[in-house]
Amino acid sequence: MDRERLDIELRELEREGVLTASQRGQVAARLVPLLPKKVDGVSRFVSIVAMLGAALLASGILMFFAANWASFPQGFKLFLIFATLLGFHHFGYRLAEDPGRSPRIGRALTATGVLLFGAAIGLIAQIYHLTSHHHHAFLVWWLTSIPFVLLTRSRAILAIVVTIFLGWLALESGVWLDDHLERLRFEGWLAAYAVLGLAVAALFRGLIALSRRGGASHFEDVFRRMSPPIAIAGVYAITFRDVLESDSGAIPWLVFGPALIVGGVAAALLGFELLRRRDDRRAARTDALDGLLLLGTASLFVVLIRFAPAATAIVANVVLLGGLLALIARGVQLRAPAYVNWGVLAFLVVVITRYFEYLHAFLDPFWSFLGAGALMLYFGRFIERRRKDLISRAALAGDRDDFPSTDAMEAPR
Amino acid sequence: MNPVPRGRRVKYLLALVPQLAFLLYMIAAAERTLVLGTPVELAIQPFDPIDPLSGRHLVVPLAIERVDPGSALVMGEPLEVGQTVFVLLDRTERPTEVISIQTYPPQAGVLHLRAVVRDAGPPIVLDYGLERFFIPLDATDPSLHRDADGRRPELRLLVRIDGEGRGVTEDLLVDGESFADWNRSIAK
Repeated sequence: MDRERLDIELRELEREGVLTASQRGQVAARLVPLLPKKVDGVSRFVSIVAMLGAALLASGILMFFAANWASFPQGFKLFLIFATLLGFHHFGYRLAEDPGRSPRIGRALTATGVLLFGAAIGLIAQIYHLTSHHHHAFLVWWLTSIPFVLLTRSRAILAIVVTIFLGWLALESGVWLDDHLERLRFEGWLAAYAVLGLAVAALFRGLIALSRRGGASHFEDVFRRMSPPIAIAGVYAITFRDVLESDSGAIPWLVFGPALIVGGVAAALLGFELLRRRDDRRAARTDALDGLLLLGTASLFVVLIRFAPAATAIVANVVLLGGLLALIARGVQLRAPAYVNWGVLAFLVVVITRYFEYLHAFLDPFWSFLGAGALMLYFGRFIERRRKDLISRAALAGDRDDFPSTDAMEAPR
Repeated sequence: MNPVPRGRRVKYLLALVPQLAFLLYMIAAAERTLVLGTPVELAIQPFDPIDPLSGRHLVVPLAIERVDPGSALVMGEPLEVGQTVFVLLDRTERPTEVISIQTYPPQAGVLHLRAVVRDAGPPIVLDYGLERFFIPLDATDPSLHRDADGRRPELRLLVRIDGEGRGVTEDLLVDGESFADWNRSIAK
């Protein structure tokens, strides 16, 4: 319900004699603060259209290059790479800042410029047939894009830069595992990335704290939205009963090397935040405690995978289901609809997965499909009724200070 | 509309500097090696991996990627996976062959390539970072080509190596001919 509709209904009650004029004013004063904040739908729409437009423009340019690449002289290829990169940044700056007539389109062009730098590295590597054992190109792409996040204070650009970081981390962890563990089996890779996922989610909780400290609290939202799916994917990967139960030998400690480094950084950030905020807001302390809980879960799985692999899947299922319920509850508590959505979606995926994993083998296809269909319908009904209710409770009073919305792509400078 | 402070424009330019510097470094390092480096011809067994994400290229596994410890000296500490080694090359042979592998840098002026150990062996498997040769989308794949007699062309990778052992691919030689020239002659 919006303000206008509430006003109409209250006037109607006054006309019917249920409320007096002064009572109507008192009821309105009590209810209006509880209404959801009005979302600037047009601004959000412009941002999305601008981002899509810039991405399509960049794709079109790249496809034109690709189609004619072989016929261009080498010098012209290099000129095109630099001209395109500089062009996007120039027009991005002009439109967003000076004179700044279309800030959202300008930011979309700058975001595309950040993406194009990765394409520029790839194209130059292609011209000179360069390859690299380590993924230094991703590292440079990530590090040199950070200044654009700080300058523009754009959440969209931050999300791009964090995604580049995750890409680099995943690829470089693969190189690390390849270099240190010859002929590592599939379960070793799975264990490594599962624990790494939990460590990254904990790191993101630490970065929420760092964002607050650095006066960039509007960046929190990006880390908040990205941490649940990463943690869920990490635990989900080790919930399959057959994967880690094999007696092919213990998974070596070294597998957890990348997760240990990321987890160490996360622990330092979270510990510091917890000490600093001893007397501070409860929500802030809760964030730090959530992060430490994620690290504790990662440590538990390291011990289980190493010493009791057969028990890992059972514990992972219990932890995942408990964690998803906690995530939904936290979504309602923090008024964060994204948490509720992630929780409900992941819960559905887990139940369907377990259904097929455990029951499918014992049932005739006839009963199997009937059961799956009934399960899906039940969840459809659940999502239709309960999720709406949870979302409306989560969004009841709009966004709180410690969980800002993403309605605006930009934060005020 | 408030005027934008001059410092803000400078900050944007400064943010761009590291990115531009890195791209220029990539170009300058490759060009320097191509101009000043020592050319060597390396035997290869290429194939087209059909990788839609990386642009059309041939994977060009070098013959010197796999080294039998019996045929080349291994000097220094025992080899470990992930370790950087220095592979001394004999340029008088065609294609170029491995003389020795050492875990410490050779003396100045000695022709060598840096590599990362992928498998300590035997055989020792090395990664030189020279595993791709990009070709145009409409080019003939030389790894599949047969001439009128059914003969496969002899393929070699022409690489320039700088004094620090870094190699840059200059060309793919098809029966001794530059790939671009060979591709043009096939297209006619």
